[in-house]
Amino acid sequence: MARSIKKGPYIDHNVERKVSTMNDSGKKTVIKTWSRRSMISPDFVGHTFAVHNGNKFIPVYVTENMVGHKLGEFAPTRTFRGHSEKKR
Amino acid sequence: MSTGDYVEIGFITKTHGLKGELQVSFSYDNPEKLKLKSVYIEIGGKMVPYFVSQFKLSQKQLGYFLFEDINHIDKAQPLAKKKIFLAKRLMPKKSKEEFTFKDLKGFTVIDEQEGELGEILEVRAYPQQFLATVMYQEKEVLFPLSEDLILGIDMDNKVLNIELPDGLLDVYLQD
Repeated sequence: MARSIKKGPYIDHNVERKVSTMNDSGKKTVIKTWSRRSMISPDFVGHTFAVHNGNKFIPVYVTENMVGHKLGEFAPTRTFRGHSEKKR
Repeated sequence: MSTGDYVEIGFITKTHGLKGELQVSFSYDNPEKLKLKSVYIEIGGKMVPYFVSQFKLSQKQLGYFLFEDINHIDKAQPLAKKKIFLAKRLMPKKSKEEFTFKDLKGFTVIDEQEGELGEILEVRAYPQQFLATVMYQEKEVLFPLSEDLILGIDMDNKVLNIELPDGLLDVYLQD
């Protein structure tokens, strides 16, 4: 079931606060976050987030195409390394 | 030649027919541009050369090889599922239009603030972006390859000038 429109998109308070502070000051430093569920708002464009994938931080440089998606979508948690060879 | 002198171009998917023909799936984008007189197959950690007696491309990324001295399915069978390589000096040179982020592997990264970071070990495709990996101060550092961050690429000297976002190195060096 989709999230209610009335509530608006979910963005972690800390992430939102850091982005707005940086936008006001004009600085752009990497924001380290575990909040994979936060939605990317238009304010995030041009910022770089270090999103945790359960193992390490994946840098995500936010572009306009990413707006409306969640941060976790750009830091995959699994790596497919192919199937093992068939044993004969 | 060392392992750095070879480039992986695909892998042998299976044998084809009874006369020792092998089906190859190419990972290289334009296999029709490759000079396939001889290829290398990694067997037991060593690069073994094979001379191509016949080659045909059936689809864009799929081809059929017939190697010299391999004239029966029994001889071809052990080569199935093996990776196939080409000597680096035989690889066609790419023009500026054909250059992709994946071709930055092996380039030396120079950050505007930190200076030389090291050689790009790997370029991986992530959703919506490419990430490069370098070893910096014995730690694995990932950084996004975005046109906004890249200052310039020196193709001749294999140098990538980049402006890394502030604090990115600290994320990896703190752990």
